[in-house]
Amino acid sequence: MGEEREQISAGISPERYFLMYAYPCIRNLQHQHKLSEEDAEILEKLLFGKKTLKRDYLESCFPNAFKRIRIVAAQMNKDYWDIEVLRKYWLEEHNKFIEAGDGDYATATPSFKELCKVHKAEVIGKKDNILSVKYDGIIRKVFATLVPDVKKGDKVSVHLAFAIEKLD
Amino acid sequence: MCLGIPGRVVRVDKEKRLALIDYSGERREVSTELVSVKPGDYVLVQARFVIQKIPRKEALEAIRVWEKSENK
Repeated sequence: MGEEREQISAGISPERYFLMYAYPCIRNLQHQHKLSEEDAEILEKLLFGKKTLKRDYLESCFPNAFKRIRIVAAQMNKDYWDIEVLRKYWLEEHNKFIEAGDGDYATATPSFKELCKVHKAEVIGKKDNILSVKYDGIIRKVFATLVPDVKKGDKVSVHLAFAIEKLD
Repeated sequence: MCLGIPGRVVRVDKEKRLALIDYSGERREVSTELVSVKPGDYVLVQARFVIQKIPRKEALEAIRVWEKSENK
């Protein structure tokens, strides 16, 4: 299991891995005035570009996520930028924090919470840049922007309106 | 929380797959490529795409919380 997981994120830096999952939140944070328009544009460019991502910049843009990631890292006794910590956070712990009503999620209604969670889904169809995915008996359409090569039958993680990465 | 505020669907252009969404008076045109909607639905929009329909009661609650936090 450990080895298979390693292959999936082979070549992806922890910084880029973090930003892939945070990507769907960028514009929403901007609308809530928690990110400036300038930062939102910079972050989007950084994800799709080749420039090195700076850790302190990402931490300053997403303070709430890193507060939670530090808690997970402490439990795992690892550095909070360790890719294993980030993976555990996004694929397992993130949803638990939401369910527990951490921070702003305290006032979130059920539909919001479900949408904010990271879901593990199966790709059941693909048309251009849009995937049909299925999880928990729900079928939804999401963007394939971050996983252009996935095909029917693949498993992917889903965050808001985007498929984030291919899972084993 | 990293989700926007819900808006209400005012009208739908089925052919172009577009919907006009009202946010307490401010209106925006968005795509319904991911989720089909009808007038009166409450929806969440991301990057100009409807991504989820929200039950009316929940949507009104979310708008109330949002307005409260804006006026802080």
